[in-house]
Amino acid sequence: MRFVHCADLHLDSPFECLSATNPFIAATLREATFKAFENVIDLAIAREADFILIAGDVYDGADRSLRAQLRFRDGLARAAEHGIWSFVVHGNHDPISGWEAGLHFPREVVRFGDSVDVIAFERNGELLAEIHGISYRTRDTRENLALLFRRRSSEVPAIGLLHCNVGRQAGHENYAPCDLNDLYQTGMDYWALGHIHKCLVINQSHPCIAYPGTTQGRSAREVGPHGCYLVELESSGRASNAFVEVDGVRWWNESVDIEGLASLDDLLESMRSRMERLRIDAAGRPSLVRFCLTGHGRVHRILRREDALADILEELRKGERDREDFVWVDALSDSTGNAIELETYRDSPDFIGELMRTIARFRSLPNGADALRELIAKDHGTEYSKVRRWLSEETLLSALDKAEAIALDLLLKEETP
Amino acid sequence: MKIRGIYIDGFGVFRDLIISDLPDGLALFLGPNESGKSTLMEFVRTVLFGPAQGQDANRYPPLRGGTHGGRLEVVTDDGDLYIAQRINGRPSLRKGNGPSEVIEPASKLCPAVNRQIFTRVFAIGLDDMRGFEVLSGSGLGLLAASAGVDASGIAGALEYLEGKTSALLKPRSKKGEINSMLEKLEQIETALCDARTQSTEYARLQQRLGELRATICSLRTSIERATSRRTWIDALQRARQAWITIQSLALAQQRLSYVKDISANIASEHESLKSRLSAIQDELSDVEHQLEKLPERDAVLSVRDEIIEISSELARFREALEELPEMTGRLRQKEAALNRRLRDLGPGWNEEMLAQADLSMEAERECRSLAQQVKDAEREVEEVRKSLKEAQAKFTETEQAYRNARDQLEKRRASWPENLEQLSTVRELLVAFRERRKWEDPVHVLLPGLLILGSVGVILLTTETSGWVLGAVLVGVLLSIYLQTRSKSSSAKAALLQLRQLARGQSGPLAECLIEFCSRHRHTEGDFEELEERLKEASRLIEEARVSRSDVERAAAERSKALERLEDTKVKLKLAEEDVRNLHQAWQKWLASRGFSCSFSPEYADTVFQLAREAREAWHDLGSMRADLKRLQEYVEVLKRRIASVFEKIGEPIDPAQVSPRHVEELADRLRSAEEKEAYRSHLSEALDKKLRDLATVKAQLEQFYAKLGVKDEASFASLCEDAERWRSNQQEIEKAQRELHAIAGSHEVLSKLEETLRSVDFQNITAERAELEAELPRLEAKLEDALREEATCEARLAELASDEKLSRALAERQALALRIREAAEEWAAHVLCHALIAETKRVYERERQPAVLRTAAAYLDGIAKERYKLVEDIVSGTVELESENLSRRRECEWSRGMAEQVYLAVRLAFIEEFAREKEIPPVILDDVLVNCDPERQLAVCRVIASFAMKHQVLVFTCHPELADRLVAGATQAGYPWAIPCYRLKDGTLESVLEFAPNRR
Repeated sequence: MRFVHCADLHLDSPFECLSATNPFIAATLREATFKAFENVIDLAIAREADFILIAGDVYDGADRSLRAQLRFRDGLARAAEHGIWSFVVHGNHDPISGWEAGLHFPREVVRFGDSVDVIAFERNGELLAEIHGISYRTRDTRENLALLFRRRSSEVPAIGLLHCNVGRQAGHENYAPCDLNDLYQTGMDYWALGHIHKCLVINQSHPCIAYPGTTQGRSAREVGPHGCYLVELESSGRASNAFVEVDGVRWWNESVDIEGLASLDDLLESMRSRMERLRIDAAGRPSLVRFCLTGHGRVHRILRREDALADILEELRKGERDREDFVWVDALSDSTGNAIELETYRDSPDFIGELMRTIARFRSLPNGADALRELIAKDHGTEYSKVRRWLSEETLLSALDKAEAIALDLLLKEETP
Repeated sequence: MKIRGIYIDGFGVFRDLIISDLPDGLALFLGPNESGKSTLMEFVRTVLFGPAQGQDANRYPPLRGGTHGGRLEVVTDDGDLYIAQRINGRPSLRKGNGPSEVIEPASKLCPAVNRQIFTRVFAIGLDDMRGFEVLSGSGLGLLAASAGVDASGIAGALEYLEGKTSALLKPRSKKGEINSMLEKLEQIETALCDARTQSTEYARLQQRLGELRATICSLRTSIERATSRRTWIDALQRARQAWITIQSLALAQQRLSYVKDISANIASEHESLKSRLSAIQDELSDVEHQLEKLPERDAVLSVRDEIIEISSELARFREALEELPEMTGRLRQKEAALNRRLRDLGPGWNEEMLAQADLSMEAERECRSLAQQVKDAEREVEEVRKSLKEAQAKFTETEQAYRNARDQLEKRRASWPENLEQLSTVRELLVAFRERRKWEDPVHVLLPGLLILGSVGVILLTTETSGWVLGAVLVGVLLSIYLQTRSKSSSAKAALLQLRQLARGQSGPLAECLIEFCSRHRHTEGDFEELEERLKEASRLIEEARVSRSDVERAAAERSKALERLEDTKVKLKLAEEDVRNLHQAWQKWLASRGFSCSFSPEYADTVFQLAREAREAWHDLGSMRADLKRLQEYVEVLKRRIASVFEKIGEPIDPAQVSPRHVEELADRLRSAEEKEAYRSHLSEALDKKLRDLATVKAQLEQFYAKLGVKDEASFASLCEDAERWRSNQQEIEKAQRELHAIAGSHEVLSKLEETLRSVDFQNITAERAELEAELPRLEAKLEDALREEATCEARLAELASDEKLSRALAERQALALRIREAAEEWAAHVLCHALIAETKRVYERERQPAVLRTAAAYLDGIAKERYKLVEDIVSGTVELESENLSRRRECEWSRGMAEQVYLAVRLAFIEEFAREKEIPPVILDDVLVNCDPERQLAVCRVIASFAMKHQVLVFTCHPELADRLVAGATQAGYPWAIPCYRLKDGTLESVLEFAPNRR
């Protein structure tokens, strides 16, 4: 028995991309999630899979688009035309309450309800597997749904289809949290999970427990290849899964150290060669990359010039518009510093030393972010209220680092080479 | 940290400079301008901190040799000795006798001080002191200067940050970058709210679409039903009239049923028979009339065979007539050509001779041989005649030459002398005369005579022997000369006499000339020359006469030779002419024997035979042509006679000579015409018989026709036909009505139903029903149209929703915008924080550090200035001002240069004091910083410096010797306890070292 396991399609959900509105790549990005889903269907057809498992988050809850629902329906219908069944559970982003378009799905599409259902999958009158699944009724589902699963038959392999956070992994919303033991106790042979956007095999041996990750990375946090699993499940319940890349556009996050670079040309050369390497890694796909310039060096002075980063960005984008496998530089951030020894100033009794000590004092405060909010709001209360929601604790601490860099740049102009 | 020793290998003007044992306190370096004081200060800066940013590491190259750089021996506050070295720009530091470390010396010795601070605070020159701009702008300048920060750095930074934050985010405006992005975000959120309703709308529209499709289906059924009923009613109404027509005509048809079997064609059949009868009668009379009009039989038909035979000869007859003149013409041409050939052969040739002449090859060979002999003989006669003419001409030419030479000789003989011997004798006599005639001159005689007399006289007078001898010799010579002269003079006369005698024996001009010459008494050289010319002329004439005589002799010889040749040639001509005559006679005999004309000239022997053969051939052709012509003429004559006999037979006789092909044609035409007319006559006769038979047949048919219908005559037949026509008309009407009904019904089933309905229907009721339907249908159609329109709208909207990317676009836009806002907000926060932190630092710095610096500076200034000043920081403006004892304040721009420099110096010393509290500091170097102070103020500054030097090492550089005194005086006043070494520099060398002991002075 062979099936495709995918999750977190997030169809038609936007990219966290600064240049998403750029006419050149907007269309590519809008189609990327659909392209990834189409690739999943193509894979199932090409490899003659028996069925497709979709472990939740077909699209983004409140921002689900009709187009996404229709394309989803059409994709499954195409698979159904080839006799491939589809089993779908809904996750926090697409709870059952979110399906409003009144679309009619083919007979071969099974959508699980808000209680655990068991579907006996047959082929030519032969029972091949039983598939257990449950969908979220609402987004905020915090109960341990894994506990509701129980194997019924021991004669055919059992598959569990669930959108959950196994082991309450940090950095992910804690929906339907469960432990590994909860999954073991259900007696399933394969756990087709969704929710974690990174490809992750929690248990390779029996029972196989795996997250395929999202089919399409949509931000600079979701870099590298994304795809789904092609699973071979034996009648004994032993499973082997192979990861298949299906993403339509690939994200990269690269940092470039300016140390040792003598000129802007050197920097551009270094970045271009990095881009060429990424192009090869993307294997013909378009790519989006964010560069972060780090380190200390002579180029820093050039980078501090007005519009320097915009100019570099424009230079790096040259020629990419003509290619299908473009590597589009989405953003370029500058975390570089002067080629000076800041330690010299840190202890000096002069103004710079005093300033650096003041900054260090803020940084060392246990509630440093609050102190910074207070410092900002002291003279800019009205403005702060406008941007409060955008300034997280992390952002404020990052802003403090930038403030230090800006101050040193402004006050040590003559010291820079 | 203190400098203990300075060792320069090569740096600017310095080479191998060694300054050792520098004190911990004050040291003075004295030297005029360009002696190297500033270079020395730069050396200290460079060794400790390296070259300034952007400057060459090998600045101040060693002008006098040595390796660039050198070392400093320094002692730290801890008492450790260090050797700081910089050779060729490479720094190193060694502690005591330990290993060298490649490190910037200052980073280890005084890590809190960088080159900028050292240059601006510790090692200051006059230029640094004059730096008004350092403190200009705002009071922060003071702070900045003391803080090691760019003068305008803090103020500029704060200003920049304010501008930047304001540009990013404004409190109440929409113009800030973030403000505008937030506003845009709100718009996107609104658009998103709209876009999010797509799914609901899609479901609603799908439901509505289902309802609409059901309504449309129902409406279409109702419309179809109503339309169908209305169509039925319309059919009934249309069928009504036809139905009535059928019913009414059915009765009439019953009455006329007796004629229903009579065919509709009966009348036309009757009419056809009648017309046929009439036509045959007309044709019959027409044929009879034509027969009557035909003429009598033509006579040519009786000689038909002859005319046909002659007509068959017509083409040949015509050709013969055309060929006859042509052939006659060709015969004439042939005859003319033969005559021309006969003429070409020569006179006497005719056709008879041509027939007789022997033109065989043998005859031709004989003829050619004989003719050749004749020609050769004639050619020889011609050549002899030509030779005779030439001999005649030659004789005439030689005769003429002989006469000419004889005349020439006669002409020469007229001149004298006859021969050259006589002329040569004359010339010799003349020469002899010419040579000796000068001795006849008296001078030639008298002069030797006088000389002799003179010599004798001398001899006589001289008594000595030698004089005698000499005189005798001289007399002898002179005497001899005298005798010689006399002899020659007589010879000349004899020659002249002889010449005259010779000339008298001759005649001619030369003889006359000689006689005349001899008769003269005196003869000049011109006379001699003229005579000489005459003699030359006579000599030439004698030579020419001799040549002429030989010419005459030669001409006479040639003349007799030419005469002889002429006679020979005449004899040869006679013989040749005889041969020619004989040959001509033989030629004539041969011509007669072979039948040729006697006019045949031998010269034509080569061509006559060819011409004669061609002429004979032409003669043969002419003979055959004459025979052909004769035959043709006979044929034409016979035919003409036959034609004339035919014309005679038909009674139209003509002259046979006038007969031409036209007559033959005329006969043929007439025969053809006569035959045609005859054929037509027989045709008409046959037609007449046939028409009579047809007429009888048709009359029998008509009678049978009436009998068959049972009528007697044509009138009763017409009445029968009328009834039959009426029945048929009624029947057509009925069929038409039935067709109409069928058309309305469309099928037999419906027709039956229709007829059934027509029998029982009430037309008033169905008219009312139709009106109702007519009103109902538009209402139903309008409803259907509305439903269809709404269906199309729904479908379009559904398609639009399915392909709508509005939500996707808005989400992407929101996401991108959110990222940009987050970035911008972070940037704004960074700038706000930066501004706040700098402001906070400034506040802390001012609060915690600046007052102490200012207090110390005020204390130093107090020791310098005449008045007591206080350095005050204006909190409001952030500037530093001087406050006098009367509390009046002077702002920075109001300070004099001297005062400003004193303030700056005081502030620097105070800053160093503050700095030294926590950190190791480098020594203080002052390079002529007191030049703008008056002597009293200089003393005060020296006092302050001396007291400062009791805590820190101070190296004072100056070019003013008096400053040394003032420094010592100041040190004395300040209670400076140690001796002050004074290093005198001159032109890059250390000239001397003095030592002042201020306490002793």
